Amino acid sequence: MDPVSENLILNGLKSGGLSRLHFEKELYIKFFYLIKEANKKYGIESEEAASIYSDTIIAVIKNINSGKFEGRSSLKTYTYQIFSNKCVDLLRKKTTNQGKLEDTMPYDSLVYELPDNTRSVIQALIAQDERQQIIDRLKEIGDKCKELLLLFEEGYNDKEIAGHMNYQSADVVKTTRLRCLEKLKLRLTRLLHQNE
Amino acid sequence: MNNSLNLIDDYFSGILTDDEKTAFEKRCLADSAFSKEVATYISLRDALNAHLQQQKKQEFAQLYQQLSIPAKSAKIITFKRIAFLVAACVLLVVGWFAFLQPPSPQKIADKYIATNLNTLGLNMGNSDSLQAGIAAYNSKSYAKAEELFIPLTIKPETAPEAIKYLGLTHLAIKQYEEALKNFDQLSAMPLHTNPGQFYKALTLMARSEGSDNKQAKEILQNIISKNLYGNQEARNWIKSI
Repeated sequence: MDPVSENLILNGLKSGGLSRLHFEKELYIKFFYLIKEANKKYGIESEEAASIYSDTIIAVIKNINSGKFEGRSSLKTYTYQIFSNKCVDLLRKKTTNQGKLEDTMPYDSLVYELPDNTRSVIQALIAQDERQQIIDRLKEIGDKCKELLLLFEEGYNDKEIAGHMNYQSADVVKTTRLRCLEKLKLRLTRLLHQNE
Repeated sequence: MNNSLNLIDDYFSGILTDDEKTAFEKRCLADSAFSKEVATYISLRDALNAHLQQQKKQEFAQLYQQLSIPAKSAKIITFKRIAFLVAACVLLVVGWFAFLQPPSPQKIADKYIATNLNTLGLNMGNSDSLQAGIAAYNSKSYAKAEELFIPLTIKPETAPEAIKYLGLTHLAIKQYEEALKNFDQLSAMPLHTNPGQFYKALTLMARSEGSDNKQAKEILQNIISKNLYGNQEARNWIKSI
């Protein structure tokens, strides 16, 4: 597999549509050698380095799609920077024995889009242990609902989803999407009541 | 539709004006019911994002395996390594026979059915008759479920779902021929996400007679190559067929 150029990958990821998945793989292949470097430079085991590399690529994809990657550095430098930071984080976590990252908000949580004072109020209301329960309930809301919600989470807007899933308009997608979210919320509420 | 949800979604989609955003943020501080709704919205979206990332990580883990193989084979093989490899192979073979023999396609299918198809989701968008059929299926009244699904298979608005559920009902009571006919019919429908081929492969694996597994394998390969519904499971199962 010959790696394709950075520009091609960037344009492919930004172009939307199903071809985006193909370019996500191309991006993964492009800087795959970083896994070996983490092994040499930081002494991180291959499997662990591969996991960090996956997280890096996911973060890069997300930043490209959301416009956070502004192209001020090359994709290579940008990816390398995120990957190095994650490697250092892991080493620091190991040496300081701080293994409880799971209890904190994920770095890309929507809560960080709120201003500081509002964020602290909302963050106090978010139950961290519900995340897996919500994921488990996803299979109960129907395949179409699940696909719609995940496409939106992937960064497709309602208009793109309308084209992709044959809905009449972006408005219909939005209404359906919010209904699906309500369905998921209802399933979770029921579960929490049962557990009480 | 819940108006608050609409507003919350608009806020996080970035389509509110500055004044509307400020009002939203003030409301979060002043209205406890509203702030709880915002917290739930974030929990749901964060969980969806986490699920998406899990899926991507799985895909990348598979890619990692594929890309790692050539690198490993390119290494220079010394006698020490050969001895180590032979010992590892012996251990692997012993382990394989003792513990790791892959489950038969029939066992895989049975496990999948028991885990994922014992209870079907009751979707809000479905018609009442479909809901009644699903409820009968979930309570294991399969004859009743069949009776409820059959008339819905000829109505255009319910046909795809009804045919799918009818096929699953036949699969549950091991009427494999009927189930296969249902899933063939479903596969021929122009749906965005069509599980027909996947369920057909599952049915063939569950029956595991004659050339069933060979046929199931071909279908699974097709699912993988075209990235169709069930491709994750197909990738895992195909190794065991």
